[in-house]
Amino acid sequence: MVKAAAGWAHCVAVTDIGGVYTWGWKECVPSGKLLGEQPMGANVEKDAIERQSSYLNEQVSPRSQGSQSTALPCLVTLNPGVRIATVAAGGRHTLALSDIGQVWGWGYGGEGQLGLGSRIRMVSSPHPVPCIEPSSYGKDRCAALPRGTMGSEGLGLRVPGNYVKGIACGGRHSAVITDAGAVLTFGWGLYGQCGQGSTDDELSPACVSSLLGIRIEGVAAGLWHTVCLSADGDVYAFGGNQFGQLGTGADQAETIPRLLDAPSLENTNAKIVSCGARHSTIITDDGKVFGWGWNKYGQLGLGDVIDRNIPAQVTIEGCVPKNVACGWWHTLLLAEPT
Amino acid sequence: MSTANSSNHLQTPILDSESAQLLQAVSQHGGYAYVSMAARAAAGDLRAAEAAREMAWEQLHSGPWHSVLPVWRDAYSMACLHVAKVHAIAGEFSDALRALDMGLIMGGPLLKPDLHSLVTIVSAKARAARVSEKQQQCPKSDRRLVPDDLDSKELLGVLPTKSLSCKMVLKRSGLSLEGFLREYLLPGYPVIISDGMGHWPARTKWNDMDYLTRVAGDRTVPVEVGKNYLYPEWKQELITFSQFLERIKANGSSSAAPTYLAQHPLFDQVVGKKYIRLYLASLSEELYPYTETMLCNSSQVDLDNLDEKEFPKMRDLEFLDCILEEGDMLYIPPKWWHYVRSLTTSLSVSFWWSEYGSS
Repeated sequence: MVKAAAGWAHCVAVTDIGGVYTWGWKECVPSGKLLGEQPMGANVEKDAIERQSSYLNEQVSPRSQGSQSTALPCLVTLNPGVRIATVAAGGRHTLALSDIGQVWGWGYGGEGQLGLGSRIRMVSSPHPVPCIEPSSYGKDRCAALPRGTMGSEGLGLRVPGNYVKGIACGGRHSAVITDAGAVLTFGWGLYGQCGQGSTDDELSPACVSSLLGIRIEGVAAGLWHTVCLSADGDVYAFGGNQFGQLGTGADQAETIPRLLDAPSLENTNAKIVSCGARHSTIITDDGKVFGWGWNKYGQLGLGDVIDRNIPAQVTIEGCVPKNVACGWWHTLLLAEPT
Repeated sequence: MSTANSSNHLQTPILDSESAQLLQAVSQHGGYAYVSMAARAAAGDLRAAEAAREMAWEQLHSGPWHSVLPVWRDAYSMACLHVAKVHAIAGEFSDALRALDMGLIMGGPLLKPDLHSLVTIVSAKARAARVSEKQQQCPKSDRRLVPDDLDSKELLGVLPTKSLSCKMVLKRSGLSLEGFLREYLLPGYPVIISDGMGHWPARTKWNDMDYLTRVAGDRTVPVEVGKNYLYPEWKQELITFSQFLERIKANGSSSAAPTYLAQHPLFDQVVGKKYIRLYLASLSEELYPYTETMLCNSSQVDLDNLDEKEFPKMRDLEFLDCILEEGDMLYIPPKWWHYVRSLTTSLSVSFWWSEYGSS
């Protein structure tokens, strides 16, 4: 296993040869054959499964009938040749990013979180998510435009970038970033979590136009909010803010990305971001950890249970933080001893 | 499962008989964490009960309202019952009532009877506890919600221009039901019935803070904060009735963020005074309604800051108005536009009804 992610009630993991296993809530575990356009030889599929199974020295566990969850990991059937590099799990949907930068999604799509252009309620096998139009492959026009001309999204502007390099799933929305540093969002938008200046649902991946011109390197999403990190180490947040999860120092929702200008973040560059359902965490390049948002169960690691609406530094002594991952209501920190 | 309530009279027959099935349904919808918390909650673990309630609350807010699964509403009620029981056993009656009311307000239908019966039991316990407490306290001086009558001329200064200068809504006393039907309801014309509620005990009791606090102080009510729902800072809150009473008594009628009990075409003035202005239902272009569908029954015109340049058709419109005093009942015919302003702290009751068969 090289990557793993946990959603509200399901988990998903990636093997080093690009296979995907998932377990937990039945609704999130794909079933049946692939709905891909190209017809597929049964042998190819069998080969792929056998290759992965033998590598893992473990049989694929058939899902037990009648049970509402799968306790044992199930191998996700992918199109032949598709190798997954990383995965993201949301409230009830899953995204997978392939080694060539293509996004696949499955699970619940009622608010557009699978980016398929409709409110499809259930996608029971991996489906390609159209993030970058085929016609724009290799053109990368938008990135060259000066910033002032941006914002006229939908008027024939192409999404800057050739492939997707980062994915995130929130409760019922999704965000991806392209190699050119553009952010696309899709899904539930009631709290502004799609960052499009509205509270509408986005049924297809839509470029967050107010971030065009800023190179985004990292993205994470919570139940109602989204947080982005720029290449310069700045933090942008948007969406619901009922628990301070945006870190803006207020409780108003933001429907367009808002740059965090907290004094605690001055002179430091954010490198890694992760969001729980209602909290957010970052690690900076100088090894500091910050958290903000809901803290009822101590998920900010600050030694108390008081919510924070601005980034608060987490003190960890005697080790260097390497990575951070928020669960729905908790936080995991990977650190090395100094 | 019912160890916690065996020693008390906090019986919840529906919860007891439906729990297993409800938990199975929750499990089917991925709520494994809820199910394990609920088991501990049923055994009297307050922290687990609160966590289960938090999980259900989150699910009620985890998607568009139409996509929230009904099972989570019942799961929310279930967790509220668990929380309330633990509080009630510990003698924390206000906390118990708060939990029960939240269950009634946001929960599903399945466990409503249990919630209602616990409200009755816990309210009685709370009253009994208060009576023994009260005996050591001395009586307070003025506990009337609305103090003295205000000067009507002074009030005119705060009303929109031209108020009370044109046609007034007719005030009728001794109007018979038949007369009301024939002269007002059928033609769709407004009227004030001035002596229809003399027998309502509310007219005196509702002006007594102690009475209001005693009977409903710990009950949770939805309130609207802000001038009206067209203002961006308008919000809804859930507070206890005591908090609401303290807030309106402190605010009087001149607050930056007035608080109203949520709800609002018989309009019965129980305590205090209200100014009401009515425009004909047929006027609509002249009142510049909002174009968004959600607000198409609301006018963009702010009578308190009338911008005649922006809304020129407004100036010469005919209207009816009146000051509704304690004991008055106002009949507002369907679809008439109305502007309401409290002149004193005021308590009104509204009845909405529709003709059988119409929508």
